[in-house]
Amino acid sequence: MSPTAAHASLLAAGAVPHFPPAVRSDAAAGALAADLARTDAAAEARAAVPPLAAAAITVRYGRRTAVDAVSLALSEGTVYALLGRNGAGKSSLVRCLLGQQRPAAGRALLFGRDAWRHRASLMAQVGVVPEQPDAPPGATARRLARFCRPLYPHWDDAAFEGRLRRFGVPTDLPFGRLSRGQQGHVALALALAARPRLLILDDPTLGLDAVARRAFFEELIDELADRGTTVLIATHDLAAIERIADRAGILAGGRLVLDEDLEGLKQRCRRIWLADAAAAPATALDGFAPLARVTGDWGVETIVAAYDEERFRAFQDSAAGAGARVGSLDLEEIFIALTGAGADPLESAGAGGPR
Amino acid sequence: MRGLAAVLRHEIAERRLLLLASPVLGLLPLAAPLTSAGSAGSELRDIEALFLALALSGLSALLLGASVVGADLASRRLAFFFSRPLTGGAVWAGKLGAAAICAWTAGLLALLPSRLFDATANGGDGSFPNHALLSWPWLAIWFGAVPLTVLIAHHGGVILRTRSAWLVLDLAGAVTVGAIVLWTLRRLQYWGALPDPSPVAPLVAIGAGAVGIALLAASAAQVIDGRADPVRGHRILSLTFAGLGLAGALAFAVLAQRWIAIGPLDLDRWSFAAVAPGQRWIALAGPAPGPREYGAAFLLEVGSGRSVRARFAKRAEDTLPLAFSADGRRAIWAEYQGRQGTSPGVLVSLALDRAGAMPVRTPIVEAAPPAKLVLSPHGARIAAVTGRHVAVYELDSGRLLAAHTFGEALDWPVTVVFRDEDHLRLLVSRDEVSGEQALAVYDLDLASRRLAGLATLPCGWLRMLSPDAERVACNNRPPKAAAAFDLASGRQLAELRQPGAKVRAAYLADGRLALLAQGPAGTEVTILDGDGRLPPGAPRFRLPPGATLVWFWMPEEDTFSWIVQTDAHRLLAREILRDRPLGARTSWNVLDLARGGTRSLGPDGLRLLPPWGVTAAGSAPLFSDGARLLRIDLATGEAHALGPARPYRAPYVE
Repeated sequence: MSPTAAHASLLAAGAVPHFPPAVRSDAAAGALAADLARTDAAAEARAAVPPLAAAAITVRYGRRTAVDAVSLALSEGTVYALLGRNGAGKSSLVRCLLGQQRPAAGRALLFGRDAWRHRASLMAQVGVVPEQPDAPPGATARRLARFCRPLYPHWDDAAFEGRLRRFGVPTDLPFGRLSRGQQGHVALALALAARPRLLILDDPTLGLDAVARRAFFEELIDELADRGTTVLIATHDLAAIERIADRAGILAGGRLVLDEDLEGLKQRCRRIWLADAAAAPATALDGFAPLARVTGDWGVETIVAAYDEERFRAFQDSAAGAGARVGSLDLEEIFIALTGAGADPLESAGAGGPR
Repeated sequence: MRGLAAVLRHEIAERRLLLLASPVLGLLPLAAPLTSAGSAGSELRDIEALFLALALSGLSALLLGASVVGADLASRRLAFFFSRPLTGGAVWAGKLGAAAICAWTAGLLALLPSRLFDATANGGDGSFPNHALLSWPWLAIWFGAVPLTVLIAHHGGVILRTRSAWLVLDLAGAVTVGAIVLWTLRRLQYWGALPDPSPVAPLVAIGAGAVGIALLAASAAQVIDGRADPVRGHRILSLTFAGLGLAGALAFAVLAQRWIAIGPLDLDRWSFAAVAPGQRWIALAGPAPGPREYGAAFLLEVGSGRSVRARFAKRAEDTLPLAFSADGRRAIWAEYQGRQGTSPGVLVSLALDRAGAMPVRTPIVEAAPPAKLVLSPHGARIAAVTGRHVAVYELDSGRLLAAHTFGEALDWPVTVVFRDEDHLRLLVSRDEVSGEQALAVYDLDLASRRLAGLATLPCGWLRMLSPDAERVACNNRPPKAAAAFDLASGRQLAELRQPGAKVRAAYLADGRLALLAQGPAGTEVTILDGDGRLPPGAPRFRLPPGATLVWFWMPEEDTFSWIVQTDAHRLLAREILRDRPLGARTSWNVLDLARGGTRSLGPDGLRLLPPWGVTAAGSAPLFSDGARLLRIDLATGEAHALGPARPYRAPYVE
């Protein structure tokens, strides 16, 4: 393929910007095409290597297994919600992914490199917001920025200060004297000012009030819209994360019991109401993988994990499913159904009704 | 380096209050002259300033060391640094380095106001009155103690804050390492490799250095590999420190064992060698590989090569007394009962005729190791001279038979000899009021325990007792002359002089008297009878012109030598050529007393092993040719190798 033809094909693919023909010679176009081809190849290679991957990570504390052979891989640009109850092993997993804790077995890979062995160099591309703000309490936000600036190749002072302004965080107060919300905002501002390719947040909104939480997530959404950063966020704030995550994983008892696209998850996890509980046998919805069932005066509500539109229509047409209705679930409901107290609450009496 | 610089800068900035407060605190000593006027006030101010600086420095090192990593680790704030593109080394060096720098700087800043005040008050000459405390050794200790304190505090801080089960290892490690080191030190002291009590400062410096290195490595491993995980960090810290401590302690123990478990051939040289009658055993001592001044002593069985380590080596070149029984079946020596150098002396016996026998302590204990041991003719009794005290013991039972303490210190060389099993003769040198030296002669009757003074002779140190202990040959009395005395009566038997010649006399092992006359015409050796008379046909030897032969050290000469009678008929002498410089090789000659004539032993370079005295070397002088231990048959001149030997190197013989 000639350079001109190559360039034309790249143009057609929308991979390169258009240039006015007057400023392009054939030779320059050839060189440009070669450069772009290299860039493209590098981009493809980058895309092929997941920014974050866990390969059978196991963490033990004495005899207790906190994380049990967890494997996952995030493709570039993914926003991954890591969910789990307290003590599920989220923080341990996050520490392993950050190369701060050595797993008992398995490996954490960031951009294809071992996170434990190459932590220092990898951290130049990773922004971290910890569960508990861990910046030195005596340092002001300004001094923290001064500390971080020489460490990151793409440090953006203006972005840092702009965020703090938006958050309304004073830059001359020691970190230890800031409110919990302000500390979280400083941590996010520090993480984002480094213009990271990967952002790892460990329950960053823990202890934040509603306003601070909202500001936090809005800032995160802006960042994602601007730069398409890959994000792993371990959180209990399911309502907020539902808006931005495109994939979710649920840790329960140290095991990754679910790892799925959020859309698909919400598609298959549904609630089904049956008005006449007596008419429907208990096994009527077995084909939908029922997770929980609530029986009340108003009928039976069953949360299912394998909803299928076609099968549901067929079910509606059957005698048992006459009058059955279906409703969607939010992430929190799905999470509770999958991990909530009484993991198998297939029968319980409820006072509520169809929503 | 960028990361290290960033952490250092950050950590120092975090402690800026300390650095700002230090010079303010340093103003306090300026108030000292208000309470004490004059130069005393100035001194007080400087001492206060120094004390304040040291206290501030030490306290800062302690507090910062305990908190700079430990507190962050416990509060999980250390993760802040590990979430950044910082190597573990940068975090470790930056944090602990900043603690040390802050502690040093705080001390120096606290000194600053007094320093400036003094410089101004003394007309700007910049002197500091307490210069001794600001001298380099003290500054070096200060600068060394600060990082050590930081590291110790860091270790303690991590232990106390994490409170993990690894604390057990810390305690067990500390106890084990301490026990190994103490045990090894005691062994080294016992075998004389370390003086006891050992000098504290070098041991503390070495110990602090070793502990500092182990703490440095442990803290580095903890921060670099433990990262933000407190339990893992504590585990690594404890394992590294205990591991290094144990390895260091074991290495020290192994090194000590290498120093202690040596054989006679491992000695750097033999500075003492005495052969037992029968020539089966040799006592050897000399400087040993190891610490300076370390000496070791052995009894070596020539035939089998078996050696027994003994503790009669006092230092590298010094030994405690040793004696062989006349039948060569027993060796007795003195050693320190416990601590080398300070404990009482005990006599130790080794049965040389029993295979595999080991040294056995006798019940005989003196307040200090004796300076001289003399066995009775039958070997059943032993006389020990300790300071001014002479005691005679029954060897097997340790029973004290007789003892006497002289009013004045026994001067060297005191001569003690058993006339028979029940009588001891003592010749004691003393300075007379006139400044002349005198020799007092005593007899100690072991049965009655009575000491009888026999005579006082005008005789100095350069003397030699006849083998039957009845006569003495005195040299340098008057100068350039010699005399023979009867000890029982104090009567002078003969005055030995020769016009124009310097004369020296010595008793040979057969009781005859050898007379050396050194004059302008050359050196002549004449063999007289025991009373100093010239019998008809007495052997006479004239040494070649240019050669000299001397009996003892002669101050006016630059050379000296010894003469040893090897049997009734032969005299061993070393020939030193006058025209050769000191250190040139010499040759040994045998003077045949029966037939006359001189035989050269050759080859050049043979060295007679010490001690060289007539009685000590006895009838079997031992030589070394630098590689082998040699016994030379003086009748035939044949050399018999007894085994490999260490070269003897002494500056005056070399």
